[in-house]
Amino acid sequence: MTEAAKGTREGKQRKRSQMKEIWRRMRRNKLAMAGLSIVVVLILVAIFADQIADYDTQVIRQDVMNRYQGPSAEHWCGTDELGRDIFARLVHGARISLLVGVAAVCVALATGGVLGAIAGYFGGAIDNIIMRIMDVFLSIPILLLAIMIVSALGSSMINLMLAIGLASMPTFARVVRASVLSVKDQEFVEAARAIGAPNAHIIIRHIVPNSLSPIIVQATLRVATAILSTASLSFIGLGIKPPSPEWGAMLASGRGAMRDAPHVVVIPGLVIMITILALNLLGDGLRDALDPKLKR
Amino acid sequence: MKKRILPVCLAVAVALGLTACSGNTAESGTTAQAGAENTEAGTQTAGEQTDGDNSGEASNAGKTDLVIATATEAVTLDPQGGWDGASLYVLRQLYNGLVKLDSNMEVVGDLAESWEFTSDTSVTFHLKQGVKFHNGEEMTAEDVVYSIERAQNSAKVMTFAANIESVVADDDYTVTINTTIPYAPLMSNLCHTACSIVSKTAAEEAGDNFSTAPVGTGPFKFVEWVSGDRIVLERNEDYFASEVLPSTLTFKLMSEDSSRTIALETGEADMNLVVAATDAERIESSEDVELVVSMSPKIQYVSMNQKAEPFNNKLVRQAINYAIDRDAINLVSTNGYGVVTDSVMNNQIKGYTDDVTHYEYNPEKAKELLAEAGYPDGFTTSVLVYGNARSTEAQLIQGNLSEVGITLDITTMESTALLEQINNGDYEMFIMSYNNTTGDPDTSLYMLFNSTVPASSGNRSFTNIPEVDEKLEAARLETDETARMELYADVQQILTEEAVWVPLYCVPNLVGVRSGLEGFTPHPLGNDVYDQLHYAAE
Repeated sequence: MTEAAKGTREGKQRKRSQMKEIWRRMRRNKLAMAGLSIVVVLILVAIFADQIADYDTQVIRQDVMNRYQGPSAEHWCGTDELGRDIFARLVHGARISLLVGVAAVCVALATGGVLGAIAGYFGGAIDNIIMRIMDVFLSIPILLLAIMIVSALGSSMINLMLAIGLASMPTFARVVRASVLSVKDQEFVEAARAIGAPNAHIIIRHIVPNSLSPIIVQATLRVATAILSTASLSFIGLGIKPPSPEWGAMLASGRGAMRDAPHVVVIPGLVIMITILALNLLGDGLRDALDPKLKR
Repeated sequence: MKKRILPVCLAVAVALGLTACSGNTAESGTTAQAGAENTEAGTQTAGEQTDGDNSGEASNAGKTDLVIATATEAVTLDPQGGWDGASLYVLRQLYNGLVKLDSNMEVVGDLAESWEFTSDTSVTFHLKQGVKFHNGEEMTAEDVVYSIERAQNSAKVMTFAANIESVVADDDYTVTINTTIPYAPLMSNLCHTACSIVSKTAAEEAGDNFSTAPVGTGPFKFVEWVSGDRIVLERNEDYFASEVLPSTLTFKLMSEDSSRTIALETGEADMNLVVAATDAERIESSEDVELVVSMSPKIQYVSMNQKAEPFNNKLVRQAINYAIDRDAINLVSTNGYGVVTDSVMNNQIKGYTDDVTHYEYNPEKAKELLAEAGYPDGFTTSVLVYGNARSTEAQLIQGNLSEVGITLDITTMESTALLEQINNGDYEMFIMSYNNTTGDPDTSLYMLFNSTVPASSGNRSFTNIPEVDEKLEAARLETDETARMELYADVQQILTEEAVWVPLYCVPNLVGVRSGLEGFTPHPLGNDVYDQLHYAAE
């Protein structure tokens, strides 16, 4: 009993120092830190959106006499085609984009990850069946697949998360399978099997923790793709329903006036770009920090 | 690996920013290419682009290959195969009817020299002689009989040939049409493209392919139809009515609003048939292009499903009418060019009256009516829309309704799926426009509000008011024009009192033309014929 307790404590200690090491390597990467700080700011904005701008009086309140106004002290980013404050809509849009992005990746990870782990661990016919099905999914472009799922299920926020999540499932299945394959024949797995540990235990306790780093990197990058897909779907009218402020929908509704009131599309476009860029920089940085081969 | 990922991600990120403008860049790219194929137009476009500002009119003088930018593609070039707005633009250039509506909305002869009513149910037409079809054959009574019967047998346009008992060729140039009842809307219907005269031999030969090999008597002949891109017509040298000025006419499909405007500004297009309201001011203020503003026969409206709760209650429908700020919607959607109307009929149509129940924007009154109807706390309902513009209107209505406690859920759908769902009665509210293509009040009121008309043919609000039915039937039989119009005025009054719709606004017809392009006079029904379009000589 005491032995086991000691073991976990040591494990924790080792994990902590490993985290420290990763953090140290991250901090040396300036671009990754820039990405991280933007992502942190976005998360804070999303959490405190209600404190920054009131939903009923600023985000959805229409004032058609003051539409297409340029940026001013009153409206920091100007107003849109219905006279709504663009800054307030962007702030609340961050909440939607991040929520959908993260939730979609969770769906993809839960489905694709489990399937990939099963395929990689058991191999043989199971592997073949699962991965060929994933290949079929992969042959359809993500956006097209998401459009099909959304049009079948109807457009709502939950369906959007499901659609984008399921559409990016095969990528996760592949990544997880590959990393499971790389660890499943190592000695510690063999040892676990030798002492009679059940398959589920081996996968969850031994294989998944050891193949975590590529999954983390993939998940970070995929959040970016998911946000982009959400925006694209909303752009073509299949995403979040109005009057909810969604970045892609803001782009779509403003594009008619692009030449007369460019801020209506330029500002949301920039916000989307910066968000995706930040997430990609962070993902890249994580990849470098987590890769032991780059250790100096 | 790391080095390669970053630029890729950057590219992806930038790509979305560009999605917003891709419609323009991509489309102007392809159109420029298409212009180049069309040699003369191609060189002129190029010339203008390099010359910049001072090109304009000078380089256009004498140009006879005209390009017309359209927003939606025609569905058919067979006049008995459909009557959607985009097809009508082209059909009008290819065909003539027996009669047509002139710019004062009076019925005048087209292929018919004259006509006389021999009884309440019988009218005899004397045809013009020597009119040639595009295939060189002469148009005779046989073709007329064939065409009208073809319209009667086509499910898509048969409403415009309703109540016709028989069409008889008395001799080569005389035709008699007999109706089953004294049918007042007959002449208006005969003006519709559905009753256009087609060549019997050509139509029989082409069979189902007549849409892509159309043969009529109109000012232009068909050349080619590149699906998704353009329809090209050429001058009919033998046109019976006038000398045709343009040598070719190209209907160029540009679905993105701003690309049509840009094409007009650069001179790639000579005319933009559908100017977006947001672009109107820009075109008006530019020296190279002109904005021609007129009214179309279309009305934009919100329909409510009277078969189901809560809109089976008249008080609720009236409350919705009071709750919606139609002036704001007109301002956003048409930039104020539209005309807010109280009637359920467009103000261009004969018999229109604004002496109907008026619902001003009054949220307080709406709340009172809702409370009286048993919904003091409002309710949740939904609206079906198609397209970006209507989605914006739906958002405005959503904002209005939330003030009186009604939560509105907006569902954007694809147009065919939307129509199917509406025709099945599976909806609560929808936003749409109605285009009266005959100019006769019967087409608006009978088709949309008679309880015997199925939803798929027009009564999508499921209006069922016996008094309206009676008056509409009586109006069809009424031969005295004044008495007939009085019946229609009564019908409009009853329908607005019952609040069957929320009529939003009469849709304006905004057309952009290059400066110096003459010969374009918008027809009140949109029945424009482009045979006189030309650039003034220097």
